[in-house]
Amino acid sequence: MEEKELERRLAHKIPGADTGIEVKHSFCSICSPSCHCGIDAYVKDGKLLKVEGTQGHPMNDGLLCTKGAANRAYIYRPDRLRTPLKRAGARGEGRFEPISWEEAYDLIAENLLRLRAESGADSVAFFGGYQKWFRWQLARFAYDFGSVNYGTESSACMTANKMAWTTLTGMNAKMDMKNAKLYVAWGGGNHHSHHLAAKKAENFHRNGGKVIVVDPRNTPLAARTADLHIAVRPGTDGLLANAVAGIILRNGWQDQAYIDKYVHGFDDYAAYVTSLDLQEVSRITTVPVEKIEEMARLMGTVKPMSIEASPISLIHQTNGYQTVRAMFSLSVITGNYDTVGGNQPNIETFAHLGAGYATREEEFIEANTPAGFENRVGAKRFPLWADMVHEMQSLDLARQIHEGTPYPIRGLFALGFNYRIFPDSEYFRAALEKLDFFVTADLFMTDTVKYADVVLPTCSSLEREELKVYPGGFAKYYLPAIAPLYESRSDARILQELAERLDLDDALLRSGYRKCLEYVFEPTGYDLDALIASPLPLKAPCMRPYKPHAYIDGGCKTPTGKLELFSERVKTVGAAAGLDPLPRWYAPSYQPTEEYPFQLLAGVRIPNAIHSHLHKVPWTRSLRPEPMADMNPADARALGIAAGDTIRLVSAFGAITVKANPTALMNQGQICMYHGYSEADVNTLLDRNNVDPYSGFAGYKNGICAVEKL
Amino acid sequence: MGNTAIVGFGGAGYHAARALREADPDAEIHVYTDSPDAPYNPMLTTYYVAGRIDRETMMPYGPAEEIAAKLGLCLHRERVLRLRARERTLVTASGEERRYDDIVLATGSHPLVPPIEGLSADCGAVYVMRTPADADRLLARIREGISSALVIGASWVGIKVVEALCAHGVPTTLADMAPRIFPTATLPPVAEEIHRRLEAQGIALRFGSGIASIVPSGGGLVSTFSDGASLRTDVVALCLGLRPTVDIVDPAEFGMGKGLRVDLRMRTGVPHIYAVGDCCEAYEMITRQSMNVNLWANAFEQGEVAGRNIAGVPAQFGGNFIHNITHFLGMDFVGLGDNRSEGRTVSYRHPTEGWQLYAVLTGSGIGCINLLDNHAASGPAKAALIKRLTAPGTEIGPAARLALRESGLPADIIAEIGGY
Amino acid sequence: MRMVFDLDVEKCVACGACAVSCMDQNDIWPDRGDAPYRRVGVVEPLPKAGDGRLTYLSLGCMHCADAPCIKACPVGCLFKDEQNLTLYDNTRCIGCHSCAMACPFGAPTYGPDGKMRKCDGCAERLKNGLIPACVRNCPTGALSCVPEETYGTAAFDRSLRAIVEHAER
Repeated sequence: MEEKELERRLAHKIPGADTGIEVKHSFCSICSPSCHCGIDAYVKDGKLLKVEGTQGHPMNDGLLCTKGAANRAYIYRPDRLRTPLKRAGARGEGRFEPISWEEAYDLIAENLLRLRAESGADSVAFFGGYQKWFRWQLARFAYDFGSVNYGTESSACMTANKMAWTTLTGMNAKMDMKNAKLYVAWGGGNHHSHHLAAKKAENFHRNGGKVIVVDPRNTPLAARTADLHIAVRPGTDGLLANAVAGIILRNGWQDQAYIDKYVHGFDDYAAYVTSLDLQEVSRITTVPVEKIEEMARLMGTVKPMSIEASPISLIHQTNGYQTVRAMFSLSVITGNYDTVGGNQPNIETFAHLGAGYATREEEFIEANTPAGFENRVGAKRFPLWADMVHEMQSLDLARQIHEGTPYPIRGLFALGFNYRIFPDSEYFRAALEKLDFFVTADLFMTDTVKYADVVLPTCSSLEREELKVYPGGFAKYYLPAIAPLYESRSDARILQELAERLDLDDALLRSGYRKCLEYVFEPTGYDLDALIASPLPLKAPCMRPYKPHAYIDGGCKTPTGKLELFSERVKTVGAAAGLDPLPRWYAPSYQPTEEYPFQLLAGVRIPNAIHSHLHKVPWTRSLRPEPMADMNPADARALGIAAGDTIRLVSAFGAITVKANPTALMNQGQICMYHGYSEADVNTLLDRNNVDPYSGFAGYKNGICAVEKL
Repeated sequence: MGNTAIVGFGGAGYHAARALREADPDAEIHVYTDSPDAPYNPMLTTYYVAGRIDRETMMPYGPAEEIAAKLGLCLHRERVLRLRARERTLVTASGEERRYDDIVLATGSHPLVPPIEGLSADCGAVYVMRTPADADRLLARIREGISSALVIGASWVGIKVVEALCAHGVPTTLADMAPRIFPTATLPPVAEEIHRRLEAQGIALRFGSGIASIVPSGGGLVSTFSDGASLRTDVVALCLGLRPTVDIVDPAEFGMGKGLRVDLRMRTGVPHIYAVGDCCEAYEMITRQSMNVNLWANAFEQGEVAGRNIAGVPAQFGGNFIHNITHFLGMDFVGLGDNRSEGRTVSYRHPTEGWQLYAVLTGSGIGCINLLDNHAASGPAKAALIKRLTAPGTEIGPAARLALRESGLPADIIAEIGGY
Repeated sequence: MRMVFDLDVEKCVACGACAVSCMDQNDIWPDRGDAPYRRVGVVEPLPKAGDGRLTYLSLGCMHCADAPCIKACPVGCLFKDEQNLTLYDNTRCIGCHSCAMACPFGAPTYGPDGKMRKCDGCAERLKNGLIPACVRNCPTGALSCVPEETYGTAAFDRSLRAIVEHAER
């Protein structure tokens, strides 16, 4: 009887001394660093049995999203890399032979040093993709090696937002929604991309806060929380924002005292935004005039107001930087910037997260930056990016590999790299074939990995130690919940060991992850051992309460020290490239034609995927087994297309075969297609040269296509 | 609290006793049965013959004595000869006459064996399939070795007997006077598909002619059909349907159709006399008439309703509804509603998986649905049919729509079934 | 303690976190032919509704008070436990699919052995003071499993149990 009871408890994974199932604190890193939820890992005999969200965790308080709940299937994905590999077949063929770590390091060292000797250190590019956590060390590693060419997947994500805020205020910014009365959710899918933000929005709405949702889709956020839903035509958000500003100014709803004190370039800005013709704006944005006026009234009169811009969808328009700059300008003219309940300066704390306190991460990264930094990939093509971002703009990497100008890129060292993230991904795939030497570290045998000369198996967040910071002033140092699977090693260990093998002149990096952390976190007052011992994240001793206007009173980190509606930086850096100091809107390059009548929005989030990471995880994949294009039911009907029909999306650059998903979520004339599918890569339909000249971001949401029923 | 007699200890009798006991811990409950077995599910006999379950599994609630002890029943293993309804007394085989406050008739049903030329009651080679004893008999004969069989009656039981014979490698012929299998449930195209599949499995089919005679010949039987053809087989199984077992009642005292008519509280026309399960007929939702529907779930619910009402807990039977699911020879057939319904037919066949749906849509609702090989759709489809029957003019709700979609049905078919 | 499962349809976004959590808890592998116990989906607005409102649902066993599957099972596999959960012992299951036909939600599924399997309400977790896996991770708080005494549809913007009872059957 007792034995049967134990069997049952084991079968149902009940933690306890009798079952030997332990609950260990870890975290999920499948998603972007801003959503790394705390995980309770059920572990027995070194094997992960199950996950759930950590209750009381400042990030997720017990909840997990679709993706996070799939951690076990993700970690034990059958195509996990088990050993270091050396390519045995042709590039892309996927034939490899297992080698030892020593052999792998020998090969990497031999080739990287050879390329450096033959073509200079810059001929080797260093790329950091997911899981992003190692980037601060990878950047330093690249610079130690002597290459200026360190870049990331953030060349296509979030950075343009940061650039816009920085142009305007000198710093990145965040919301203070908790204290706001009006919340403007601009372009975010939320429930299906960032469930924690959605929950906050719902609570905000429940507690009586006013909500404006700007989204062409009829999302749950729009349907359930919006006092005003603006179904704007994709690519015209910036025009909408500027028109709203014009109405605010015409009605005198702006905070003139604030503007007089803190703002630079108001007159030029005011002249521009008040010149916009509302009827014309309505026609272009497809938003009725009354709705634009209502939006302006709310934004101009309800205070405080927090504006949130999607870190993806808006800046994937080729006018994205100007669009978000126009939006953020609304925060400035209404006096909501650097206030309680408005938008506030956001210190970059660590590993892409602002936690409210400062570390020495930037110093750590930039200390050994090599000379000739102005020559990094993309710097000439995207001068504003080059001026503002301490990375190469990797959008230009494939071109430079192909064309060899202004100098050849012969080697690529990557941690977590997927060529399918780039527009016209086939072009990048072809670039990989041209490389002299390509090494990548990954968890899985991906399409990209198949092109590598040497492959290193890395591990997931549940298998490694990592210090994570969290908004609100928190941090937690996690130990591995389970040992790295197979022969995999953490990215941090790989960098340390390779720094040793390459004999890089960097004692700190070579001293390992923990020592590097001690350096970076020295100003925070944290005791790292206490961060390990505590089951939940701890508040930073250095954390200080927010003081309104403290930042703007002290002088902004802009050329004029003021909030620049007219950007002196853009004027100086971008004049030659024709960049506009004002957040002036311009139409994105591609508009539907007779041949390609639909706007194509690539990569709009679906709940069960994040990039390609989960496409091969059976649990999440089962929720949406086939690559599907979302389209409006009326559009589908007009083409004789029913749910589940096989269709082809066709552009001038490629075609993919997918299933149709007619849904009232979608507006007419628009197609949303998720990315990263090997068998139906929507990025092959995009023009690689259709980019935002300010940020270098590609027009993922500015494609056009035709839909054919098969 | 009172004393109650339950006559018959099958599924209906068992659930009457159980529900009564659950609702009234003090009730005195007498159960009469002349079956040597515990309450059994007749539908399981063929599974037993096929070797898919052991003998005990036919009796899902365990041995009768154990049930009696657990539920506090007074178990009388004796035959009841007569019910004197007005007096509320039972006359038993031992000659006693006992009076009860309430009496539940759960006497079940028995196979129909019509007079057939050449067929005598003691003819050893003819089999029926209803009781564990029937199953024992056929199984014993199969084990002795037989090389051919004829199953007469393409009914729910008939097809399962065919399957059981096939499981033992016995070449089998299935015959019915009707033109097609499950004549009370199938729509012609679905029946044709089933016929094709049965023939592909080597089962010979003879539809459309009745049986004229069954004559012993050597060790077996020669069956002659009404069209003149004849067939010699080692055994013949008669699966021609069931008749309510109501021999203990005086029909003049009751409203009688095929079975004892009852209201939704399972009361017959005679006060304190209830009838449940196969021996009764109750309201049927589609035809809106009283109907004898022999289903395990009905027996369960009707027994439970009677038990509760006797205990003073008002309960109502949800109503009969013609629905059957049968799983046989690698197929899964679901018949919902009345296949005589007239209206517009919609159909869907899955291009790769081959499962199919046929539905007859009447002006106001769904008359009939046939599903072949998609059990996942059966529950939501049945719910849709009932919903549109009970709330005419409304469409099905979102949960039903999702469940139907998850079963693989395309949107246009769901819209048709869903009434929108 | 008798427990009640419900879904707040106004909170659900059909993200599938519940379905995945259930797969994790119950070792369900769709790639190996296992059918999930819980499914999610977006139900499109009816053309005549005209409001364009989508309905998001998570469907699994509702642990109905008067569970029709229990009555339908010919071998008595299904039963109610003391927590009012609809549980089963499929040792004797003959794979007849009668329970599937009885269930309006398509909750019963069948394994490669042909035997019925379905949500057991995480009965064992509940007995150990843990809440069901699907409820535990539900990021919008749409799914709930609460004691009968504290359950009331008033706590929901739109209770699935209520719409099902009033509209679906």
